[in-house]
Amino acid sequence: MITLLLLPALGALALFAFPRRLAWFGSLTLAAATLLAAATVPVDAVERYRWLPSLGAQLLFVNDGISYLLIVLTALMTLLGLLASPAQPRLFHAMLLLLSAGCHGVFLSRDLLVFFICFEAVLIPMYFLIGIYGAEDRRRAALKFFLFTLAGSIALLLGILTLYFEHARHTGLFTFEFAPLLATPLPLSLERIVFWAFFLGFAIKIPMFPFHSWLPDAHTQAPTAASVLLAAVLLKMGTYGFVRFSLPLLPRASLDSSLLLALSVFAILYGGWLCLAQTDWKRLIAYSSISHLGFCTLGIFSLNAPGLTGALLQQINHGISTGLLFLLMGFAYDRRHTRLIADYGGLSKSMPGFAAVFMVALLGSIGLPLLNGFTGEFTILRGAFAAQPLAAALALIGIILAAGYMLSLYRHTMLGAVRHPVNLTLPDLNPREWLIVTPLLVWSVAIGIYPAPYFALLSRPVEQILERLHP
Amino acid sequence: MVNLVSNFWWIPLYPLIGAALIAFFRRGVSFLAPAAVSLSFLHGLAVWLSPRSGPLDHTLSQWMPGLPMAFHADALSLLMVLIISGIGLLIHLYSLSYMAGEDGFWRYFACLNLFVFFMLLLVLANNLIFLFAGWEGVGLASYLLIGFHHDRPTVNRNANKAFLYNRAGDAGFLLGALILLDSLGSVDFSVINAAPATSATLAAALLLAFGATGKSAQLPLFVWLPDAMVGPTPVSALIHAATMVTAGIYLFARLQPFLLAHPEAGLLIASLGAITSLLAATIALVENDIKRILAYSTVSQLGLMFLAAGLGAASAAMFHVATHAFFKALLFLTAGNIIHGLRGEQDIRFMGGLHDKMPWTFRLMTLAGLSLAGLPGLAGFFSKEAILHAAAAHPLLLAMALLSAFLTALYTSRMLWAVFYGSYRREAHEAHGFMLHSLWPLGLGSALAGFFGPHPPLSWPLLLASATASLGGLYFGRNIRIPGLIEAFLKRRWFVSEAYELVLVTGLTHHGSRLLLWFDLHIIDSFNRFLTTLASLLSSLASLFDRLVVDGLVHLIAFTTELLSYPLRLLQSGRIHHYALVLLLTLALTLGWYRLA
Repeated sequence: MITLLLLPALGALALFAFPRRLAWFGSLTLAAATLLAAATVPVDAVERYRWLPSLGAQLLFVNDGISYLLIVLTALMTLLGLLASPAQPRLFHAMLLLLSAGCHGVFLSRDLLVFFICFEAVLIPMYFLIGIYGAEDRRRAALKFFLFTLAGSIALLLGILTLYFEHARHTGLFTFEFAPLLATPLPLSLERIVFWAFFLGFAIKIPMFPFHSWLPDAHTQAPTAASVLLAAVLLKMGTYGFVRFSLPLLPRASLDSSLLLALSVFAILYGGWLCLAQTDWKRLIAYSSISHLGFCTLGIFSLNAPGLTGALLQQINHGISTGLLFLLMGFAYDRRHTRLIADYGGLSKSMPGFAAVFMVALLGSIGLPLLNGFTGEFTILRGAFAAQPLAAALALIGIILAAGYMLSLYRHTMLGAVRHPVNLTLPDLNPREWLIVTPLLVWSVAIGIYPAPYFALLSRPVEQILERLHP
Repeated sequence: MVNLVSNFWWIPLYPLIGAALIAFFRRGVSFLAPAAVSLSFLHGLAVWLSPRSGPLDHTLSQWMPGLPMAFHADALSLLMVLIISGIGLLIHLYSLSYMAGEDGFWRYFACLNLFVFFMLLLVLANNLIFLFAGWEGVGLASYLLIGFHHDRPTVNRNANKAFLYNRAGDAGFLLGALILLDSLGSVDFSVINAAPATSATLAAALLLAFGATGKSAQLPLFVWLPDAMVGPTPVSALIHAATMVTAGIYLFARLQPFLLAHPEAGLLIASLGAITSLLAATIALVENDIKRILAYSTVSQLGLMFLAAGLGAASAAMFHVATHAFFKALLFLTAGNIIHGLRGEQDIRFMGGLHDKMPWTFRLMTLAGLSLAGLPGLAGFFSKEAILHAAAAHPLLLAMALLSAFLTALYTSRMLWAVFYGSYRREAHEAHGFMLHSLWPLGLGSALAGFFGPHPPLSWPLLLASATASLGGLYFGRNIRIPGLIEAFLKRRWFVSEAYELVLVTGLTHHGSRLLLWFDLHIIDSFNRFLTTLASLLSSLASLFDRLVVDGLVHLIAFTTELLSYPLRLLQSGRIHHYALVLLLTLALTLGWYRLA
């Protein structure tokens, strides 16, 4: 598993030894090799390396169903993101590879210090990707992204350190390892404080309402590949953090989740409703992410098996669908150099293939049965209904909103009469772009009609978490 | 030889494969669409005719935990399969002529096949959630087909409207399913139908009924159907008359024992149906667009089916589903011939005198119209009779149904006279090829399908009332004059659509979302900015501390060191003669000291 960190990280450095023209192929090869390595990591594999014994920190990587899906998603999205950026310089490709290395570390590490370091390290390449290669207002967006998530991280670090010192105070053992920390006897009041410290770190990352205002800016300004990774992978570090660390480490504080359920439902409706007012294609997808991630947190804080399973599946689904939507937006941007919805219209005339793929991506995203979104959303709703029927009922309004803003986006970009003659001359998807979208389309349909393997992968980790919550 | 009966679950797959092949090859394979539907029809017919000991079941795979992809075929499903694939086949054939030369011919057939797949899935599913896959799927196919001519004005708007009203119903449907799943642990139809009535299941029944009002275009969600008429006419015939809109009635028939256990929900469904039926019939009376007349007529007839299904007479409702499928599909397709013959004219005020220009279309449409109007002896009469019989115990509902039947005959007669008699205004030509010949089976069904239904016991007063309503309506419809004020009111369609428009589109979507965006960009963002400002303020303080205290300490150490090192530094001046002097002095001192010692 350490290959998943070393291969892209060292590979990113090695890219600079390549001639400029070959660097892109080099990065593709590295990403493909990483994907292969990620897909072949056995579930339940454990790797342990000595690192800082004096501090009680080590490189401990554990793979389970939750992590497995996320590392495969990360590796795939990195590969597709690179494939979508052939014209970018070496530094850009290197940054993407570094980003994926950091994400793999986040999703695999069971040592809280290493987890935190990776959680933070991911910020740096993303900051540069937005700040150097972004759109017109990139500096401000990159800084905003950096400051916001950094603020959350400080809270998270304080939470982790509290846990670390409390554990040491009671057992005399200084360790950042996940398993021993489970046994830390925390007074409930302190557990609550640590929970909310963790909450700040993760909620800003997801982002949950009301910490979401960095997201639309970051997405709008980021270059395509960075947007794809930001939406598909980076946001999942927050939901992953809740599931992996907050719930099992702080079970009693987690049980008090009604405020979080309310925030989740609010985010679903709020994000969806805001989408209706967007005039910028990319901003609309960014706001839709807030709504979709609301479904994920709704599932998580339902604190039952369907809710958690659905949330973990839905974070993959969101990665696939929103990743695809951002990629498609990027293809359109490459052709027209504008994000404004009003500059498009009638694209299905000149780009029928693009319009068809966009339709499938959209349907997956709004949760049409037999595509990926439905399996996750419905399972979440089952969990939410069991936890709080009202939450499920309100969340259902979100699926109407989703259809509303997505179909409206489709109508104003793909359908209708062509208002700008230049749109008639746009070329349809080229073979490279087809190569990018095909795996995501196939994955989307596969999860939609045969999600059983995913439920099987997730059932045991979810059971373990539930045992901690409801012993 | 494969066993067609036990492999009945293949029935929906043919059109799915057809749609996939057409979408992949695009050019030159559109004939696969009718071929695929005919395979479904033949397979369905084989299963229907084969001796069966009971319902057929097949579980394909586990879809989601506790929710299998399970198929179920009994007489009810198979009847629907035959209607969908039979009428679907005729409409596919009709479309080969009607859509010939259209841009996107292949796209049309791919979507039409996709629709048939989802519709067959809907009627063959064995649990509520798998049914829901078909339920939303037909909504999607309907959306795609309504929006087929997407470069024409209002088309996309209406397609979106259709999808969204359906989705609103679907959200209610899902909530109902969630309640059942939570309280019963399963949404298999057998489990739901055997469940004892509780307040939770009552809520579920009401929510499912709400879902059905979306798909079957009833109050409060009926406003999308008339606007869906911007789709190609064969689509209106298949999806928005014969099949998809009957999905709600199919659901009630499938859950009949469940509805019987919740008479309150049943009565609500029946009342909604009766009110919608009357409302839509009055609007049809003043419409001038031939397709919109037929659309409101469909809403009205679906209302009658709701009435029967709500009162527990699912067989009567399904009977009307079947006869309605024949005569309404025929009405739409003949209307398609007229529109085609008049090069796109849809307003009946610009038609007239077509009976000798389009003799076969005239005969077929009149037959279908009379069947719709319930002329004794034709299919529509018998099925309407069955519905009236079901309503007999509820005088108010019965009266409403009879009034609706009268209005039906009235507007049908008005339409037929306006189209075929009077002065001849436009150049027109009779249809030919598939556009004519695929209509014969529908004509046969419109005339004779009534003899094969479940006939209620004979009741002379009802029979008489129904015949009077029909004949009276047909008679008065010829020269009907509606007072201007009432006409003006009815033309606004009881203001239902306007009210939704005002609240949902203008209010929530346009103004509401912009207000919220302002809130998000100014209030929430400033709150967040305040936090960041606070953070940078804190970091400024820290930096001050760093400069004054931490740096101060460091500087103090540095200063002390510097102070102490000053004399030493003087020694290291870097000048050779200084070093030479020091060397000399040292040598002198050393030697001197040595000498003294």
